[in-house]
Amino acid sequence: MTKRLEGKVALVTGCGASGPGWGNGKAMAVLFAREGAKVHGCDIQESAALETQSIVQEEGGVMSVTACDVTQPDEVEKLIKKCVDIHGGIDILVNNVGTARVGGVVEQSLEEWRQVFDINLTSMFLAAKHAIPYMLKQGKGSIINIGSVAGVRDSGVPYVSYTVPGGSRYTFRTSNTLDMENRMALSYMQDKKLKKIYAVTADYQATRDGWEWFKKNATSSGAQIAGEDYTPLGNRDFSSVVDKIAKSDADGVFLALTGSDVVTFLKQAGQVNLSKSKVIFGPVVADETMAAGVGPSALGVNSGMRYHYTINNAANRKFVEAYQKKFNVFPPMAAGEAYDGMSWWLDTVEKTGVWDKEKWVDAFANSVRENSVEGKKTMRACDRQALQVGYWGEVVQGTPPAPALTMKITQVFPENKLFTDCKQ
Amino acid sequence: MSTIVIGLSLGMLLFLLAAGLTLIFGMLGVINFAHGAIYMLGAYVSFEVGKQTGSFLMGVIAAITITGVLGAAVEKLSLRPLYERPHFYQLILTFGLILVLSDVVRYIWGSGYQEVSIPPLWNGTVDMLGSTIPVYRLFVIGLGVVVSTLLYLFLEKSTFGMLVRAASSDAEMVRILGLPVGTIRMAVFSIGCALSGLAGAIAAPLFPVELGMATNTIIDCFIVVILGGLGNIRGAIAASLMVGMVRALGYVYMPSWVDILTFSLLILTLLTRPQGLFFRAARSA
Amino acid sequence: MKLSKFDILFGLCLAFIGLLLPFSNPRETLIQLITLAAIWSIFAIGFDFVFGSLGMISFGHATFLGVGGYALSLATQKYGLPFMAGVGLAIFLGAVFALLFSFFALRVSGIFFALVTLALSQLVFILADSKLRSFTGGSDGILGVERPSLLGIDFFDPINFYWFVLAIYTLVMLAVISLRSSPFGRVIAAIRNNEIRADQLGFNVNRYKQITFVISGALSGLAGALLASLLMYMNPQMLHWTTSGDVIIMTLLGGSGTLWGATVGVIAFEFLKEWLSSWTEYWYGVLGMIFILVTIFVPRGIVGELERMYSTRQKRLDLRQRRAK
Repeated sequence: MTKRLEGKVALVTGCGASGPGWGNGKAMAVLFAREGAKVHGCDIQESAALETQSIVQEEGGVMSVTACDVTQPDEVEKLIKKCVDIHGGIDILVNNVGTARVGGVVEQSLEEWRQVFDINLTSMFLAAKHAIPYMLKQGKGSIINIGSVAGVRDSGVPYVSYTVPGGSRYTFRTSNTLDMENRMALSYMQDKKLKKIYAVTADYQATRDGWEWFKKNATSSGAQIAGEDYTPLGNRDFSSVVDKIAKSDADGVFLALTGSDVVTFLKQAGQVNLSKSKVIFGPVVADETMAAGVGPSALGVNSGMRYHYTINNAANRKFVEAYQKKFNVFPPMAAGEAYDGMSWWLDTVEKTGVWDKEKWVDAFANSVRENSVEGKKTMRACDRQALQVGYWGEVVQGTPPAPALTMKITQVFPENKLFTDCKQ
Repeated sequence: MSTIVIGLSLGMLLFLLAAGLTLIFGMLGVINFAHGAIYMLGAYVSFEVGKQTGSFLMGVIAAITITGVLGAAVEKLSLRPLYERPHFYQLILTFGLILVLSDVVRYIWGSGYQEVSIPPLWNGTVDMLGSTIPVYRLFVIGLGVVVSTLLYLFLEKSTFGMLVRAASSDAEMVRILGLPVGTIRMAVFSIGCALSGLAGAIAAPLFPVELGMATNTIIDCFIVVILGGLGNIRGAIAASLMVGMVRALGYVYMPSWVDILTFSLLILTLLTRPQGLFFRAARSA
Repeated sequence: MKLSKFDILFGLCLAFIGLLLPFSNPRETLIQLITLAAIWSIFAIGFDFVFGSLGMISFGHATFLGVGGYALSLATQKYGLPFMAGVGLAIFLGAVFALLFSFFALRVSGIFFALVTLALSQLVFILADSKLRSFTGGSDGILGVERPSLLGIDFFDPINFYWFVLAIYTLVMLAVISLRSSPFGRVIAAIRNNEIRADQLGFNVNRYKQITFVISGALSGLAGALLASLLMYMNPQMLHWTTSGDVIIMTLLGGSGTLWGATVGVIAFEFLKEWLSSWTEYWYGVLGMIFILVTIFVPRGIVGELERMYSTRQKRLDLRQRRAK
C-alpha cells in the first residue's frame, strides 16, 4: 500500500459497523489508516467504533474514537473539536452516517421522515458547519458526503428515505444460505437432544467456516464435541474416519461435506451400520440424487433441503407436473433450485420492460417473489440473499410413484428463525 | 490394529486397479491413460447388468467381458497402427480415449450417481481386532491376493505367459518363430483392460459410481506404478500395500493431509530411486 | 531450423488476418475467442518447446500455466503491484517451477517423464485447492483479476485487450523464430535427432534440456497470466492435469515441432469446440474421437501435413524446372 494520506487527519462519522463484518464507515476508517492518515471516528454505538479502532491499531495505525449522536449540534461540535485537539487539525471529513426507513409517502410516518433527514442530511450540515472553520484556517481540507444509488434512480422499492447496500452489486442468492442450513441443523440437534457430536468436515473454506459456526453454537448450548476430522475434497476413503466414529461415544454425526463426498461417506458408513447407533445429519447433505447414489444406507439421514417436489403450493404443483411430463421423474433438488432462481430472474427482467442491465439488477435487488415454488421469497437488497422459509427433512422409504428413497419434509422453519436483521 | 486391515484393503483395491496398467506397460510398453475410464466403464456395466439381472456376480462377469472385448478392439484398431512410432503417440491416443469413453458413458447413463450395493453374500460386518470391519473389505483383500497370485502364475508359469514375456523382450524373434505376435499383444491389452473392468465392478459398492471416476483414480494408479516400477507386478503389489498403509495411518491422524502425504512419498522416491522402489532391470513379473 | 518459405507465407497470412480482424466489426464473442486462442497459442508454443523440440512429453505444463495465473492475480489483487510487474512475476515463477520440475523429471526419460510431471503437477493442484487456500482462494478461486493499466488505455474493452495480447504473441513468435535459427536452436535439433551423438560431441545434453524446460515454463507462465486477466478470474482448474492434456491435443492437432503448428492447433481446437458444442452436448467425446483419428492418420498435424504437401509440390516444381533445362 502506498502512503497517500501520510500526515493527514481524517474524521469518519459512522465508523462502526451495524452488524458483523464490514460497513462503509468501518472500511473507510481502516483504509485511510492503512494509507497513513490519522483517523478520528465516531458512532452512536461506542462498542462498534471501538471495534474499528482495534482493527486499525492491530494493523499499526492511529485512530481515536468518540461516541456521538450526529443529530445533536453540541455533540457534533464537541466531536470536531476533540478531533482537532487530539490530532492537530482536520483534513478530511467523511459524512458517512446514513439510514433508511422503508415505505412510500403514504405509509411512512412524519416522525420517521424527520428522523431519516436528521440522520442523513442534518448531520452533514452540522459536521460541515463545525469543520469548515478549521479547514479555512489550515488553508486546505476536503469534505466527502456519502450518498446512495437510490437517490439517483428508482430502485424499485419504496424508500422515501434511503440506505446504502454493501457487497457485490451483481451477485444474488435465491436459494438457501449455508447459514440458514446450519441454524436448522443446530435446531435439529437440540430437538433431538444430541449430546456428543462427531464432525466430518471437507477441507474447504465454506464447510470449515460452517463447522466453526456450528461448533461454537453447539458447545455454547451444552453439547460436546466427541471428535472432528477434516478430509480432502473428493476424498475416496472414509473407512478410517468411520471406524473412529464407530468407536467413539458420539450420539450424533455432523457432516460438513458436499457433493460426492456425502455419497462416499454414507456408503462406507453404511457398511458398519453407523446410522443404527448414531444420528447422521448435516446442513445440506441429502436429496434424492444423493440417496439414489448411496442406497438404503441413506435412510434416516437428516438434512436441510433446498427444494422438494412435495412442497405444496400452486406454483410448485404446476412446475412438478410440467417436469414430470417432460422427463418422467420428479424434479430433483437441483432442478427445483435452478428453476426457482431462473424463473424469478427472468420474470423480474420481463417486468421491467426495458433492455437495461442496471435496471434489471436494481429491480431484482428489491423484488418480492410471491409465487416461487418454495413459497414467498423476498430479495434482501442489503446482502443480496433471498428471505425465505427453510425446509428440513429426512431420507425415507418412498412408495411409488415416488422414488425408492425419497426425502420427507419434517420441519419448516420460519424466516425470523433463520435470518438476522440487515441493519446498516 | 483395525488400521492395518483398512490399510490392507485400501492397498489391495489399489493393486486391483494398478495391476492391469502395469501389465500392459510391462508387456507392451504402452501407458494406458484410459485405464481410469475403463475402470469407470466396468463400474457402470456392473451396475447396469446387476440391476437387470439382480445378480452382483453377473454384473462382475459382464464388466470383465465387455471391458476385455473393448480392450481388444482398441488395441487392434487404434494402437496397432502406432507401434512403429515413438511411444508418446500411443500415450496421447489413450488420453483421447478418456474423452470418448467419458462421453459415451454420459450418453448412456447420464451424469448422476448410480448405486451399486454390496451383494448380500458379502454384506455384514465382522468384529475383529477391536473394530467392526465390513466383510466386503475382507473380500476385497482376499480377491486381491487371488488375482495377484493368478497373474503371477499366468506370467511366470504358463505357456501363454511365456509367449507374452518373449514377445515383449523380442517381438521380431517371436514373429520369425511363426507365432502370432499381434494376437498376443491384443490378448495382453485385453487382459489388462479386463482387470481394470474387474476393479471397477468390485469398487462400485464402495465408492460413488459417477463420471469423475475416469480421471480421479488414474493418478493413484500412476503413483503405484511409479513407486513399484513400471511393468513390475510384484513391485506393484508392494507399492499398493505401502500406499494403502500410508493412507490408512494418515486418515487416522491427519485426514486432510493424506493426499499430500502420498505425494510426498512419491517425491521422496523420485529423489532417491526414480525408477521405482522395486525396479528390476529386466522387465518381468 | 531456418525459416522456410512456407513459414514466412503462413506467418504473413496469419498476420494479415490478425491485424484486419478488429476492423471487420466482429462480435464481442469472436474477439474474445481469438484473444483466448492467442493466449493458448503462447501456452502451446511454450509446451511445444519441450514436446516438439525435444520429444519430451510433459503432463506438468498446467502447473506453469496456473502458477503464472496465480502470480498475476495475487500480485495485482493482494499486493497492489502494477500489472506488468505481475506479468514479470508470472514469467519468473513459471520458469522457477519448471526448473524445480526439471530436477525430478530429467532424472528419468520417456514415459516416466510424463508420469513424473503428471504426479508433481497434481500435487501442486491439491495444494492450491486445499492447503494453500488462504493464499489462492481454494477451489473458489480469485475473482476480479485486473486488466493492464498502461498509458490510460481502457483494457476492459475487448478490442484493446486483443491488441495487447496480439502484441505479446507477436513478440513471443519473434523470440521463438530467432531462437530456432540460433546456435542454441541447432543444438536442440541435434539432441532431438540423436541424443547420444550430441552428447558425444561434447554438448551437456542435460543442461540444454533444462534450459529448454525453463524457457517452456516461462512462456507457459506468461500465458497463464494473460489467461487469468482475460477471464478476470483465476482458479485451480488451470492447474489440473487435464489442462495439460488439452494443450497436448492442441499441439498434436496443429503439428508439433513446426513453427505455426501450436497456433493452428489451438485455433482448430477452439473452433471445433465452438462448432461441435452447438450441435451436441457430447462435443468433448467427439473431439476425442477426432483427436484419435488425427493421431493415427495425420500424425504430423495440420501444419505438418501442409508443410509436407508444400515441400513436395516445391520439389516437383524444381524437378520440372530442371528437366526443362
